[in-house]
Formats: sequence, structure tokens, C-alpha cells
Amino acid sequence: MLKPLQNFGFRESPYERPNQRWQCGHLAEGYECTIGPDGRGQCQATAECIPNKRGDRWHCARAQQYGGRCSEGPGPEGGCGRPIERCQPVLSTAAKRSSAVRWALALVVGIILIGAGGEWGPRFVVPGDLTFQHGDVGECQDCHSVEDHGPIGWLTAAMKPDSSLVDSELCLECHLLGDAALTAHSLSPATLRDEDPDSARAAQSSPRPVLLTLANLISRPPAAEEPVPCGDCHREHQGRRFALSEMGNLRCQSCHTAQFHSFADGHPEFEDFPYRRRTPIAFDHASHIGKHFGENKDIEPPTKCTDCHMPDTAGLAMLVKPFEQVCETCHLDQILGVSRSGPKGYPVISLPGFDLQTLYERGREIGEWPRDADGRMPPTTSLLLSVDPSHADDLFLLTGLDLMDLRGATDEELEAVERVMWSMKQLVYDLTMGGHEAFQSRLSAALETTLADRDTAHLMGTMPVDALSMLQREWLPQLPEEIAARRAGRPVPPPLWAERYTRPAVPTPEPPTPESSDDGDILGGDGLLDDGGLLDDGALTDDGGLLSDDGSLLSDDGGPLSDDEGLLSDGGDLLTDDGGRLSDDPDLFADDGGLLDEDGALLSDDGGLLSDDGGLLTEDGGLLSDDGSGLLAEDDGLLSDDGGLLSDDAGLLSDDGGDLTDEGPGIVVEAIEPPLPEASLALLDAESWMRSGGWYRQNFTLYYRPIGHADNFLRGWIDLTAAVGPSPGAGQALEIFADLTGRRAPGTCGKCHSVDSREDDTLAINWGPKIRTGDFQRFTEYRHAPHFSLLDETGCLTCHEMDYEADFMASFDDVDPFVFESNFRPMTKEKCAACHVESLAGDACIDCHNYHIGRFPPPMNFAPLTTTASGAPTTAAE
Amino acid sequence: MGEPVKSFTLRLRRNLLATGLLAALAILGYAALSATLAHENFVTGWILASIIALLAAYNLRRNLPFLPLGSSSGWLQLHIYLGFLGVLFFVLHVGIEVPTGPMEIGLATVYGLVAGSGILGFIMARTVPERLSRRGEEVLFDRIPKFRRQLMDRAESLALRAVEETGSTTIADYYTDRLRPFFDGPRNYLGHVLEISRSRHQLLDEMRDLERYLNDNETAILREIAELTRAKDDLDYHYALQSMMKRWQFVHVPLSFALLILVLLHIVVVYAFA
Repeated sequence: MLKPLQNFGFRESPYERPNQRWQCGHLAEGYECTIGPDGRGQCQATAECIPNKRGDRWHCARAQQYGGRCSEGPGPEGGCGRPIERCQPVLSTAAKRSSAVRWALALVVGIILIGAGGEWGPRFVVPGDLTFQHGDVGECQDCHSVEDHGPIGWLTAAMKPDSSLVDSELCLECHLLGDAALTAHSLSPATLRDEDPDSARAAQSSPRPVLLTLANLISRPPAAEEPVPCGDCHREHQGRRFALSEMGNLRCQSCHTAQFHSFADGHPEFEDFPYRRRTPIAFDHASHIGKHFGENKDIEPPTKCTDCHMPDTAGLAMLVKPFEQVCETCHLDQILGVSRSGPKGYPVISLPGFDLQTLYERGREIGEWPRDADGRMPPTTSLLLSVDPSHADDLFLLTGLDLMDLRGATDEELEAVERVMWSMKQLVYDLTMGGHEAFQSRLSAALETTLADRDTAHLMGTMPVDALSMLQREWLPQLPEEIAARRAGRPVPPPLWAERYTRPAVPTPEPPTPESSDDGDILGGDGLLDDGGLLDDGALTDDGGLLSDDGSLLSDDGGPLSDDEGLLSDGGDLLTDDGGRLSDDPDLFADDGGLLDEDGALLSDDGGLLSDDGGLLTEDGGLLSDDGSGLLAEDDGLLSDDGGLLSDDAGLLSDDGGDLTDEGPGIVVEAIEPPLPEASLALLDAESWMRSGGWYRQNFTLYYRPIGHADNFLRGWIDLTAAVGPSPGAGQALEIFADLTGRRAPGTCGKCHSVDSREDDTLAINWGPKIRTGDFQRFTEYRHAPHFSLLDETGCLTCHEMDYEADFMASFDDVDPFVFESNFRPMTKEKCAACHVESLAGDACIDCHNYHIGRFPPPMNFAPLTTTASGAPTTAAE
Repeated sequence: MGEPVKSFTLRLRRNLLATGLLAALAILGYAALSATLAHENFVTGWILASIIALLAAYNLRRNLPFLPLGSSSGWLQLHIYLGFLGVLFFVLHVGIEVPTGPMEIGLATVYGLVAGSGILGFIMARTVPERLSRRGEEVLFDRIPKFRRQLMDRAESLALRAVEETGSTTIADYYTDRLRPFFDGPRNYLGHVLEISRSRHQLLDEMRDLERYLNDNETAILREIAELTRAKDDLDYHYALQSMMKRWQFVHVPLSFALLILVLLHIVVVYAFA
């Protein structure tokens, strides 16, 4: 049994110096010296002891633990007889550890200086990869407001106040989230309060989860007006595949008043989801399915939902198929007004009726005005007139006044009437002379807006020049002269027919003889081509006369060809039967086979005197043709001014030189000599003629008939007048909007397209069905496509249960889109919660809800387009 | 002996309970904080940085024993259990994903090495003293070379005595060939750390085998040498375990200081770009 190696005692234990930096180099060999190295690592050993001198003798002084007194003893000079071999001192363990610490620190600092100090410094300190969506971000400064690279720049930035909001502004340079991007849900506080239903339903929610209770104690949720930095929710540098928009349910709820455990447990019940807002298109599913689809036996009604609906490409919303596919069969004729009572077009320009007799009698200088006009001024005309400063006052003054009976009107009122009439003439003149530009100018001034050419084209229905020029020539043929005279300050005379109201009463003249009419013309007082003459209101007018207002051929009243003795009168006589010069052949214009018969007669369609092709009054070569060769043409025709048969000078029926003898009318008579078959003038009226839409004149009104669905004219006017601000024509605009959006208005736009009030108190019509675009985010988002596999045999009705009792159409009586009673019963939470629990389809808030609410366009590149020296287009970046 | 064991068990349970409670509180607080819009990483980061600073302060306490900062034992206990809490906060702070940024990778790696070496140190502190007490004589580490030298000198003396007393060089030759290298320095380091005694038994078996060629006197001398061999092997065992404890610090301590530097840089960068 060995004795213990280690003994403790002053004789046995050596002096330990474990904390000293240097140790004897012989320590590892087991015989270190007693003195050890000095503080700088130098060996101090000389001998095993320093002998003592007692008296004259030297004595060994070696310590007991090193063997005590040695046998050799000191030398005679006092030197130790056992010298120690010198060593190379070594570092102690503690010193080596300290050295290792210093080396480690030096290494780390060196790596940091090399890594962070160089140009790759940002890459050295980047905490992790960016998501792949942000993978092309090049510089830290693109997203961070830190100004300088390198440790000094970072240290400076770290000392500054929180820059997260400043950094968020950099995010918004690409992510366009609107004016309230950083406030809760990217909504203004006021909007958020309106949108937030939580407070109202908080009491219904389940007990608050413990974690949320703790969370509310730890952190206060941001106030509605308090900006929230992007980084609070979107934590970048988490790796390329990190879901940057992921958000935990608890975190979502931490700001909400109503807090609950899960969708199935505590989520507020749905209220009218998804039918909180009425549909843009007023389509009554109940009445269509239950009634209309069965009414029309000529169509094949839809039998399943997908006959009319289809999912969008993203599978998000169910879209309605185009009008042409699903609505046109039944509704196109309604738009065209085929079976519509009353005007089928919308009146745009109209000359209203006035009590002309009173106006002329009381000396108002109104010039000519169609004496048969009896309509009212449409709002579009009034709108175009509203640029006249006095127009509004005049209309106000004339309110309640019967314009067709002005006998009791005051001079002031008549003066206003006169101004209105001249304004209208000026309008017709301006539009005739100035065309689209004049229209655009007037409308822009009236509504104090700026109209683009394209808008003008829509608003004018691409009106051709003929529409207005013909209007002016028919209604106000003297307009250019009258405008010129009025501008020159000259008096504007009344028309000839009105002279009787402007002159003192004279005895009724004797019935004129054919040889001497009032104005010396054989064709009566108004002349052949004058007011009421052959080419004006005569031939095809409503009054039924052939060539004049009141039935006579070429005159108004009392002329040689008048009603009671006229050329084409019912009496069947061509040129009177009482001794007139023209023949009294009873067959010439008789109803039965006479001049006006339908087939083959003088005025028949085919070959007759007034027929389209080759007849007497046809366009090409006929009697009244335009090309100069016709009988009644303006130049060289039979009834022309110069040289024609009925011309003023040298014509057959003229005063000078003409000779209407019994034998004379041979030209006409000879041409229609054969017995004519029955004939009549079966022309369509202008409105019917324009069945497919376009411009037409009727009753001194210029109408626009809708061309079909999505008519640009109607759409342009409705859009224009829906959002008009304070302006001279605001009242008229409102009237136009109401006219055009009425359910029975021309085009019946308002029958299906609902009108919504907007926040700025203007109105907007919903032209399309509900189409969600990719850049619009709502609070709740539902994707139809993933749910199709869950439907049972009832198809879409699995979720959309019909409600046949709902008064759906009443929802469209108002402009508030949120007053709505749907054809379908609201969804229930239970139906969704059957699958949407954590263990099945998941119940994350963001499965159904968006955070950022609004219309957010995708990030765009706004680099300006420039050109190179060669002219080739390039971008500034190049 | 009963009292210290009871005290140790009591302390262990108390510390484990306190650490467990703190850990549960930390997890609950983190979960609650994660349910808000607050940046929980700032909170966990500052707590972790504070823990690291406190852990590093233990070294300061060891180097400043004259300051009234509490007992070294108390500091060690704090160091151990705070270290475990630090690991928890590191996981809460970083998550389970592997960082991808160079500096973040370096920081996480260094922290992992420090924490790992700390856990290894904790394991050694719990196992090595017991192992040392079970085998051989407990000696101071710094005296081990001297004791080794003494054992070698005695073995060498016995070998010489065997020659002088018996005239046979059998033992001397065996000593020269096999035992001198064994006594000359520390041997079987890894075997001792791993508690493998194969080389010790091999030597002793050789000496037992050698006895058949020896007379009684030589056998007695050889058995004395075998006893010295056992003592030397036990001394090597102590040397291996104690040096392992000391070498462990060469990993843990320098990396801890490196970690402090990286944490400081991390805080600056985070606040610069936050």
C-alpha cells in the first residue's frame, strides 16, 4: 500500500502560485524550482538554496520539502553545491486562457472590421434573405432610412429615434395603399369607425382568450388615427419563402373590440352576408325564375346557374355572362323601344311651341318660327341654353306661363319669351355653323367642366352635319339672314304668313283667280319652294297634303290650286272644275285609278308620277329631282326658277309668257295619260325608319334613338350629368339624369342599372355587374372556386338559398345601395364553420379577411420615356 | 455526509423549480406578446442580452474576489440556471429557423458553441468530481507532474534494486521497455476521459505474466512496481479529467467574450435598421 502522494503542511506543501502568469519550465517534468520565473517570464533559478553563514561556516538552507540539508553542502565561498539547471518558463493555465480570450476577441473584431467595413458590409450584417418578392431590392437604403454604410453609419443611425415610420414611407413608394396607408386597415379613422361593426357586437362574442387578456395588459393596441409601421406586421429578412403577409389570429384580434377563441367559437354571426349591398344590376332572380322565364315560349330559358354565371379567372367571384349572351334575347327590343308608347328617342334639340299670333300682334320681333311647333323645351336644349346669362332668369319668369297662350302675358314676360326664342335660334345657328366644337364649348361652359373630344362624340351621338343643317333648313330657313340682320341691328321681318298679324285688319280679299294670286304667282301666296310650299311642309307633311301644309298642291289658301279648287284636291279635278284653265278630267287625280293611286298611278311607288324610280317626283330625273333634270328641279326643271314649266319666268304656268290653256297642260297630262292603278304614299315615319337607332326629326324635335345596349350617347349623358357640381346647367343636368335613368326612359338604362349615391353627394350609375378587380380589396374575401366540390345536388343553392318573399325590386327605389333586400337568404356562420375549424380547412382570419382595404393598384414603374439621338425610344434607365 | 447531500438536493430542486417557473413565465409572456403588434423580438433580444451580460459577469466576479458580490457558489448557480434560461430566450428570439445572414449565422454559431460548451461544462461539473472521488487519490492539478515524477523515480529505484539484489535484469529490462514510457508522462488521456481502462489492465496483466519468470524477491519488487503503476494510472486519470475541466474553459470563456462583441454589433445594427 503506497503512502498518499499529497501531504499538506508547511514542510510538505510547496508554495503554489497558480495565478502567476509564468511557471517554471521544469514543472511538467515534476521538479520545478522553488523560486520560479519572474513576472516577465525570465528564469531566476541559480541553485537549490542560498546557504546561511553562521559564524565562519556556511550551512545548507534547502527547504525541507525539497529534501532538506543536502549532503554536498555549500562551498568555501558560501556558494550552493547543487546548482539548478535553468529553464524556459512557460505560461500558466490561467495566462493561457487569458491569451486565448484576447486572441478570440482579436479574431472576432478583425472579422467584423473586414466583413462590415468593406463594400460588402451591408451583405455582412443583413439579418437574412429577403422574400423572393423583394429579391431585386439592391440597396439597404431602398427600404431603410439609414444614411451611411459601415459601423460608424450604423452606430449613428442606432442613436437616432425610431425610424420605422420613415422606413414605411419607403415601402409606400412602391406599394400604393392610398392616403391612409399606415392607419388601421389603410382606412381613415372616420371610415374605419363606420366600417367597424365589432363594437356593436362585442357583447355577443365569447369570453376573451387568456392570451389576449394578457396581451392587452402588455401592449396597448394602436388608436385608429395612430399610424402603424409596415414592419409591425410584415417582418422581412426571414428567408425567400417566408410568408410576409401571414398574420396570426391572436395578433389580428389584439386590436379588435370583439375578441374570441376561434371562428367556430365566438366569431360574430354573419349579418346579411354577402348581401349587405345591393347588386349593381337590378336582376330579380325570383321573378325571372318564377315568372319571366316561363312567359316567353320563343326562348330557351336558363336551366342552371352556370347558364348565366361563370367564375372569374382567379376563381374569386362569380361573374355574370355578357348582356349579349344572357339578356339580349328578351331585353334588346325594350332598349330599342320597339313596343314603346310615346317617343322612342330622347329629345335633344327642340323648338317649343309659342303663341306666335300674340307675339306678332304685340310687336315682338321674333322673326320666323315654325307655327306648328307645339312642344316643350327638353332639358338638353335648356342645358345648352344655360350658358346665356339671362336664360335662368327668363325660365324663372316664364314658370307657370302657358307659352301657347300668351294673350294674358305682360310685356316683361313677352320680352323674356322673345329672348328665349332668340337664344334658341342662336343655339341652332351656332350648332349648325360650329358643329361639334360649338356643342362642346356650350356644354363645357354650362357644366363648368372640360370635355374631351371623345366625350363630345358620345354626347352628340356622332351627330352628322346633315342632321342639323336639315333641321335649320326645315324649321328656320331664314335663320342665317335673321341672325345677320339682328347682328347688324336691322329689323327682322316676320314671315309672310304672319303679316296679317302685324298689319291692321283688312277686308278679306276676293278669292284670287288663277291668273292673279296675292304675290302674282300662279302657285299661291307662299310660292312653290317657300314656307308651306311644295318642297317644305307640303308634299309629305302630317297634314296629309300632297305638296303643301293644308292639302293643296302648291298654295296655302285661296290660290288657284287651293283646297276647294286645287290641283290635287279630293274633288278629283286637276285644275278646278269650275271653269279653270286646267282640265277637269275626272279621272286624272281620282282615288280610283287616278293620279294618287297605289300602283302605276301618277304618285305610285313603281313608275308613277311621284315614284322613287323614274317617276315624276323622283330623285333621279323625276319631276322633282335634285339633279336638275327633274320636272320640278331647281335648275332647268319643270318647276324651276329659271325656265321651268312652272317657273317665274317663261314657265308654263308663269305670269309672263306662260300659257295654261286647255290644250296646254299636255306635258303633265300626256305623261299620266294611261289609267293609273291604285297607289298610295306608304312611307315610314322618321322614328320607325330609325328603328335601329340614331338621329331623327319629328314634331320640331331632334331625337336620338338608342342604338342598342351600352349606347354611348345615353351612357355619356348619364355619366356626365350624374356628377355635376355647381354650374349654370346643374338643374338641367339633374333633370336629364332623372329623365335618362328612369325605368321607362328611352333605352331603359335605369330598369337594370342601379343608381348609387356617392360620398360627395353625386350620383353614379352602375354600368356593369359586380366585377372585382385584382387591385380592390375588401374586408371579406370569398373564393368561389375552391368551394365548388362541396356543393350538393342543389348546386349553388346549397349556399345561396332563394327567398321568394323578398321585395327585391323595392331596394332599387332608393339611391342608397345599402338599403337592400336580397333574393337570397343571408349565409350562416354555421355553414362555413362546418369545415372552417383549425383541424379541417383552417380558421385563420386572413383566410377570409383582408387587412388593407381599398383599391390598390400594383406597383408600377414610372420611368420616363425618352429618345436616343437616333430617335429610337428608350427609357431613362437605359 | 448526509447533510451536504440533502442540502445539494434541496438546492437543486429549488433552482430547478425557480428556473422552470421563470421559463414558463417567459413562454407565456412571449405568447402574449406575440398576440400584439409589438415587436416581441426586441423584448426577447434585450432579455437575452441581459442574460448574456449576467453570465459573463460571473467571470468578472471570479476575477474580483475581493468585492462583496456574493458567494462564488451562488454566482455559479446563477450562471448555470440563467444559462439554461438564456437558451430558452435564444430559441424564442431566433425561432427554429436557421439564420441566413452572415453575421446572424456567426452570432448564432458562437452562441450555440458558448451555450453548448456551457451545457457540457455543467455536465462535467456534475459528473467529474464524483468520478475523481471514486478513483485514486484526489490531488491538486498543479502538483500532478511532481507526483508523477515521484512515482517514476520510485519505480526506477525498484528496477535498479532488483538488479542489485537478484543480479537479474528481467525487471529492469521490462521497466525500460514498457514502464519507463508509461511513467514518463501522462498517458491514455482519451481512455481516462471515456472511462476505458484497457491499457492499465494490459500493463498489469503483463506484469502478472512476468512473475512466472521471477523468483520471490523479484516478484515482491515487481508487485511494488505494479502498485506504482496503478498509482500512476490513477494519477493520469485525475490529470485527464482535471485537464479536461480546465481545457473546457479554453472554449467557453473566449467564445463568451466573442459573443459579447457580436451581441453589441447586433444591437447596433438592429437599431440602425429598425
